[in-house]
Amino acid sequence: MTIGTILFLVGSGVAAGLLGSLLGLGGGILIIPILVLALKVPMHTAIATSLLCVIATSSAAASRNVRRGIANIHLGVTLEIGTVLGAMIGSAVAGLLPGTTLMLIFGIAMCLMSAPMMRGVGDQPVAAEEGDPEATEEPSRFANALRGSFYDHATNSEVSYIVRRLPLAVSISGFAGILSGLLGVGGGIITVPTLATFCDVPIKAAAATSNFIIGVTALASAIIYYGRGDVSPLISAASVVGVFLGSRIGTVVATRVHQRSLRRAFAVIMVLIGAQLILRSTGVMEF
Amino acid sequence: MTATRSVATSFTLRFGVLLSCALLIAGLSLYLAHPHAVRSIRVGDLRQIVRSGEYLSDATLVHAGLLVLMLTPLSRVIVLTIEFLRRREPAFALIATGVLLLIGITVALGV
Repeated sequence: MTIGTILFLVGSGVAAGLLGSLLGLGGGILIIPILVLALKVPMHTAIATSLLCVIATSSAAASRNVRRGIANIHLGVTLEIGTVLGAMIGSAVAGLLPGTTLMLIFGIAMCLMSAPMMRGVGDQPVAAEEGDPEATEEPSRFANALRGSFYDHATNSEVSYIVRRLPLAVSISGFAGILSGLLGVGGGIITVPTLATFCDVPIKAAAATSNFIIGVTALASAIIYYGRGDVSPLISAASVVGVFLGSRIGTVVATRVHQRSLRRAFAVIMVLIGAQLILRSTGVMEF
Repeated sequence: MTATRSVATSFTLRFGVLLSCALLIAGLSLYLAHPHAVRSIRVGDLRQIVRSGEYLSDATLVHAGLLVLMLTPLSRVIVLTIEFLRRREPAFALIATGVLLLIGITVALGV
């Protein structure tokens, strides 16, 4: 591998980490197209690389969220049962599928994931912060133990909540785990809206909790890819370093960027990249 | 959620990621000084590295960095399990142990 390629990988990782941090995405959705389309890296290797990048960025972000008390650790550990099981299934299935099929699925997923970004999901706080007015039943003792609270600096107030519909959350987190193992993404794009919309978890806590569990989810998949020999050490090392640096830069510049406009612009780019992956995987477009 | 748990968990995650990145940067720097072929990692490579004694080669440092990275979230779960036991929260200690068991099964299947 040439020095230029290594530096390109680090630079791409920085861009992916920066954009991911600004857009609330993991680096995976960005690093995989770069590896596959620009460097012709095999899809399984690109997914393995993405999973390692996700571990790095989510661990760094989770460290901050846990320290600030935003992540609901009890809820996170509970959901990890679902996500880890899902990740095991997803990564095992990925091993049975050819790279072109995974590329096709990833391209379709990119196009679908652009929709919530275009609509601006996650830009406004969800009414769930005030609790479900129709929920009259007392939460179970276990659900009570999942009760969370955090200090919201944006509103200068303490936000408290009770997690509802836990079985639904665990089930959907299992599906998020399958996606993570299959496509090398974090799964937050499914977990966060689920927690915020159906489980009465405030969006900030939902995002922080999702970030908290993504690292373990990606680990479960990464182990299986590692065992299959899909991990390329140099590609992974350069990408992880770049994505980590980019995400750190992103946390600094995030407050200075108009995120809604950036999300919508990136939604268009996601559709274009997704379409390219679909066309290449089906042989309509050559590399 | 206690401050103790937050601090221990937070520290574990931050330390692991920083150590991993340091090892990866060191390995990449050595490689850039003397580029050569480095094939995909296999589990057997680790045994070879240990037997060869080449602990400060670029390949070893990169391998170590990636392993530390993968051990970081695992360590976080272990730290949480211990904290749940210390705080006498058996239900969550059991759940965290379940997560560890699942990861253990993944390791057994993966390697």
